[in-house]
Amino acid sequence: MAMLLEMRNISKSFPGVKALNGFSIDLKAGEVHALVGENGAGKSTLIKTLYGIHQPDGGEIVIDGVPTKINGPADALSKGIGVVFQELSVCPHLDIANNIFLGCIKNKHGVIDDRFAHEEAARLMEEAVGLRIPSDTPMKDLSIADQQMVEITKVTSKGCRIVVFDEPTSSLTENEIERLFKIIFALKKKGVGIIYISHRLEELPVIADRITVMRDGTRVKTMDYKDTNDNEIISLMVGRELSNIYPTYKRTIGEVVFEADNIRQGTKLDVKHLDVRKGEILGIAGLVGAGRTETLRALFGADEADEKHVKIEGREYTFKNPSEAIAAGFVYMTENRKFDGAALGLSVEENITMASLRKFSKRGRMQEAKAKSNAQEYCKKLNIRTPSIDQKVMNLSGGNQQKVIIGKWLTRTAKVMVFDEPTRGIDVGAKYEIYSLMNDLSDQGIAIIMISSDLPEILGMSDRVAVFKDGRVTAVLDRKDADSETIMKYATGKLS
Amino acid sequence: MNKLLNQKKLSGLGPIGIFAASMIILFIITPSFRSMANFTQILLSASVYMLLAMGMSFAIIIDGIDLSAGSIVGLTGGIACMAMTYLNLPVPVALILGVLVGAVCGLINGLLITKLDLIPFIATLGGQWVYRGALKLLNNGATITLRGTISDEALATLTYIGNGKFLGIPVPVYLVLVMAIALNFVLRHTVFGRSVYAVGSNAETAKMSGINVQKVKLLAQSITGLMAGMAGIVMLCRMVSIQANTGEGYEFEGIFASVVGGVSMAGGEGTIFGAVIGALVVAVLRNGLNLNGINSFWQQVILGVLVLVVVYVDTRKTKKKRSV
Repeated sequence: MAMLLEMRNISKSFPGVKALNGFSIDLKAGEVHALVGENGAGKSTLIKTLYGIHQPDGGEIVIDGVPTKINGPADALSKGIGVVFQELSVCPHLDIANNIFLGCIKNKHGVIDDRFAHEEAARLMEEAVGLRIPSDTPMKDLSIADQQMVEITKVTSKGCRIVVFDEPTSSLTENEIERLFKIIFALKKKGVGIIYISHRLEELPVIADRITVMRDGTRVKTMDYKDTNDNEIISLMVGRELSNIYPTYKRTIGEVVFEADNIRQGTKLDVKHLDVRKGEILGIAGLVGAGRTETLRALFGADEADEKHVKIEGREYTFKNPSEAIAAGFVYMTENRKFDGAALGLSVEENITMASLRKFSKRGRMQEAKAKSNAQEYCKKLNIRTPSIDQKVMNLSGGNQQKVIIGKWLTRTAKVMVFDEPTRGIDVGAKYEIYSLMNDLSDQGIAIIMISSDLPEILGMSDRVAVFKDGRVTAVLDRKDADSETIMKYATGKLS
Repeated sequence: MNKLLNQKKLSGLGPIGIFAASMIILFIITPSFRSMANFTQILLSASVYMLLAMGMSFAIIIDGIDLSAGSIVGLTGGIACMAMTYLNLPVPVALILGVLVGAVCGLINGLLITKLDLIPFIATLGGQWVYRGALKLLNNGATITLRGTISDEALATLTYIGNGKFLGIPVPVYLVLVMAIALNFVLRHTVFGRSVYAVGSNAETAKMSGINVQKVKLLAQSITGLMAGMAGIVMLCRMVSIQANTGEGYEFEGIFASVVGGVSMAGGEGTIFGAVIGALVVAVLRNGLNLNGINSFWQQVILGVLVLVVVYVDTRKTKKKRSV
């Protein structure tokens, strides 16, 4: 039987980088083929090549046994190839219907039948993903998870038989992931072949039939999933053995450093109390939209709050803006690298220096030599892979961008640090380094608040876990009382 | 690594490369281009644009714009002029007053952008009409002139500042030089300068890093206005009069020069040096085209194409880098 899709010996180079180096993968109808690899292994380039955004330098793409050239995304879609991208490619201001029919809306001599389009969109949404949302809702009003559902509808409504999911669960909560998996199983049943890219190895047992490990643009190994295990996969990915992704650690915890009381913001937030102790890691768990980031942003002074009471080392603060919070030793590492984490167009050094301009200046004048040697020091300490500190951050991989942001905040002397989704979208090796670093920081007596949607990460790193639901804290659990089920119960309110 | 370094050097060489190439070509094909007198003429005619471009680059690097700069040129010239004729203020005081009026106009633009949250394009488009209208109101749309209304001595001082030479080089060029050194220092070596790049590159990141984004924007737009004011008083000194349409469209001269000089319209990128070179390139090309008898309509077409080519090459370069 011919394979649904074969990519044979695909090569693709960019100036200075060989992104794909004779990579091969095949896909059967009705299977989920997991593709894993560290950041920079070439997964994105591979998808873009399959989707016709890049043309391969060498090798061939074979669909149903016929060698095929793919001239662009429109051509890929017409040949039955669809991609649900990690960073969703939606038009936020357009409504659901217009996003589903983007580029292919039914028309008569250029005039659109709007009512038909909306009815059709609603029907497709319900059929493909079982969601009933008015199809004239603007995309920006939907959660990331629902936006993803619209994307899936878009892809399946075009009759795609080959569907690539690029890190689909990276911003979803457990419930949403479950819903997504049901949809993927339904697609499988219809004979759709699925390439499933993920960093989250723990979800593969549920979903993967086969797995291919990719490293440096080549295929390391393709296996039946049942014949392998996480340790083998990880060591194939990184090319070395990693015993445990959460470094074991014994922490010394001191007195309370940070206290927050009565944080209120309209009807959205009503948090009674949060505290963190010296050298402690407080995990903040909850579903997306539970108000975790919103609460910490309000405390930090990045957003307004109707009421908040913050105490650091017993002293009260009001924090009207981030600069006041930072000056008091309270720093916030944001979740979205591209939106508010890194200034991508600026250099590694400029990013690392950005939050400490006063420290590297005298009477308003920058002391460049000091800033440079500090940046150099953190590049070395954090193992940031960059040709030089003058390189623009946009040219680094996701994990290295994250480390630049961490370098920025380590440059400040802090008492309390918030890590908001510190390892989202970065590979296992870099995750391990970031976890070790958080442990080092707690060792120095810094109180850490870690917001994460990754339950294993919460359980692996936290000393205590605060669970959020609907802008409120529903439970604060000691590590020894916390497990996935308990946390999910408090996060969903399904206390049985 | 070597490749990257080369790329970096090359991108820095962009504006200088265009400048050198146009100088060399004109030097070879146009005999009348090769005189000291011609070079000083180029510098003199470029000086107003260089001042404008330096200021404009602050607004553009911060991801703003100043469409009112040309109107500020006229208004500050007009006010400085009236200050001497009606209020009998001494020359230096009147000129400084003019520059300050420019800074205030820029500050108003900045307040509209930060306090009222207007997008810079709209805020300064409104400013363009308001400041132009204010100039016309000053003298009912008639030309404001200094000739015959102030003392011969004062007039001589002004003409010296506008058209005189010191050590063979036009006086305004010294002003350009001093301002270029000062603003380059501000942009490259101060906390404020760093903040300008940070805000222009990603305002949200800058805010979360503890930078007072509003203050930085306000100051940057004020500097743009201040430099337009300086251009205005140089105009006044050169012309000894201000007309209702003095400086009209000059904002585009400033934007044009900045862009040719490598200031990115997306914000976060560009240098004072680049803006100055950009203004020089435009002046040299205009001069060369004039000397070769190419009419002003064709000149406009050619300069327009130049901007398109420069921006195209620049975006290609960034795209290539990003796709890696």
